[in-house]
Amino acid sequence: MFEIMGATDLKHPENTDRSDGMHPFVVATLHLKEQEKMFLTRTKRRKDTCNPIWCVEHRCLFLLNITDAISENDGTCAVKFDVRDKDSVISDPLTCTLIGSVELPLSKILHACDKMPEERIELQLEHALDPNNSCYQSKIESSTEVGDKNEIGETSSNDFNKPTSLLSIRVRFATPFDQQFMRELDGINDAHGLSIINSYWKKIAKAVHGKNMPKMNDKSPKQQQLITDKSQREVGVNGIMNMISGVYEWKTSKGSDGIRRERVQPYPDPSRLQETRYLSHTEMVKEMYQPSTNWTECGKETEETLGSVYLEILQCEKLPNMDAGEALGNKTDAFVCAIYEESLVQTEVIDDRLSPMWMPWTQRAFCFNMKHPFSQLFISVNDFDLGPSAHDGIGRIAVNLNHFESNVTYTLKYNLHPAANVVAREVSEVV
Amino acid sequence: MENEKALLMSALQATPRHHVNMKSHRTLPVANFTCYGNHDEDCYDVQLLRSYVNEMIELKRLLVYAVGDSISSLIMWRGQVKVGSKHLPLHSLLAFFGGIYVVERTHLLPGFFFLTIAWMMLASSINRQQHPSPWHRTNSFFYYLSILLSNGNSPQKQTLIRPMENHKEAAKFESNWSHRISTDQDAAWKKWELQNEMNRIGNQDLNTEESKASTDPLGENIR
Repeated sequence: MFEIMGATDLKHPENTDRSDGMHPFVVATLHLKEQEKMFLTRTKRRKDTCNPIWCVEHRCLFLLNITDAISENDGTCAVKFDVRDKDSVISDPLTCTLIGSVELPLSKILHACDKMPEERIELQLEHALDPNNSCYQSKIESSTEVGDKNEIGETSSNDFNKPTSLLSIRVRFATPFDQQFMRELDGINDAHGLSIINSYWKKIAKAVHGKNMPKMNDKSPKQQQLITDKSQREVGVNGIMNMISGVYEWKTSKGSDGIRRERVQPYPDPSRLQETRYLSHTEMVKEMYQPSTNWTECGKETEETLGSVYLEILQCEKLPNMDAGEALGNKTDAFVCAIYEESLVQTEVIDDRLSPMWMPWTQRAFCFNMKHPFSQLFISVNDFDLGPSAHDGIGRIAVNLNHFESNVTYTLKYNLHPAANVVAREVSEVV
Repeated sequence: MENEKALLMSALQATPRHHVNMKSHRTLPVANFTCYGNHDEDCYDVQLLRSYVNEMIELKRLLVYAVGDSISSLIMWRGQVKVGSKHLPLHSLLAFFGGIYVVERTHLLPGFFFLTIAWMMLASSINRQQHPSPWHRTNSFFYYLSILLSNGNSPQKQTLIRPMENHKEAAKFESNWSHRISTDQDAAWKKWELQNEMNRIGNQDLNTEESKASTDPLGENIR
């Protein structure tokens, strides 16, 4: 099963000024012996971009059925990806201007499916204008000689002189689920949108898994939904509901003991609703240091996994107010985003607090699988905003985990900076 | 951590390139900010440039302190390695005997050069292990050696750090260090001001008027 993910820095072969105005699409064909070709797929065009990204609704997925005839000639068979520019509405897609192309032999595809399934493979596009460019060819050859991963023509991260046009794909052996999904997907008309694909996905998943559908419980690793992935409508409706409930539910409460307590954000402990609805600052701090009950496992555990990194986000202090209307109680809606290796996780949003605390029952605890000891852990604090504008970044840190001892729990406090390399250092005019 | 040896050996490999996939376009700016901050490295920015300069200056300052302290400690035979309750000048001893050995056998100089590199790294590690705060200490060379010689994990037991262990000593060490930095900065600042003053005065013509009537009869001849 193939996924054409996207391309970067595409250049129009005839007119470089037109690069941003291109409408690129990909045609995948299987090249058999004696110049025999088999059409596999054609993605939809992406408008006015030289860095296109193709999704499921753009026909980025396709299956390659490896028959006996193909497997016997795997040395000569290859899948060719042609990136073309849809330069006019009436032109035949297969005769549109060729931006670049790349061939992937079947043996290397099988190798990738076996050794690095679902991993991103970046292929250097052979430029349409000058396919016999010796300098360019030598770069491809040199890149294929370096390391095991580069056997399939992947670009090397250390190659500063690499050609810029790249096509990114992913491959894996198709499961019965994939095959059924693709059969159903082929039946969907182009005019249908992503929502229909999603509904088909759920329907097929139910049909394939049936009673064996995985059920989430407290002990199994949870599927986390990122707060920034949620639809604006869903978040907006929840916000309005919270606002309405907030009218009837006071933000603070004074108990019979005379201590002022604040409403716990984002929600009280489901197992102790009454006890944890309102807590004083001292009680909140005490609760915050309790062990987390809601752990999320991130990343895939493979043979390369060296160990696990456990991260719990506890609190932020003295955040700046990023929202207008502080007098009305509208303050920063903070959430924390953490990235480690290939995993991206987020905590829940704490509304209108400048020193937010994440309670043990909320989404604040994450378990990452470590593949390299020098991988950095990036953590940022952001202000959640509704609307077309992006969420505001408040500050970030980069943590070198190789400074820490294994099997030791650290409770650490970091100062936040807008960027790791821009810090409020003292100005050393003397030197 | 399941296998410390595997972890140690994997550190020899280059860090792999990671790709983070996300479903929503609204997640991308958050991920970009988390990894890179809100600065565009490709655009010219005075603040960014200055931060790099400051970072280099800070590193240079730390290097000057480290090298200066090491050389003065080595020459003055100060206590360097803690043996029991005493600090002994073992590095000075090693440098002295190494020096007098190699000075008559110059063909050993290349070998001694590489030995010096290893010795400096070892000395740096020992120095860090002697930090008053146990949280700032590193693992010893023998700890890593024991991992390499073992099948998986080091046989050495993990040191238990008690709450607030050596807290006062660590705080005193930190305050001494910051006091030293601020004192040196003040001194450098004064020196800079003095130099400025000297430069300003240096541009003017200086004359010393001498009185013509002298009580010293031999003065003219001696001068």
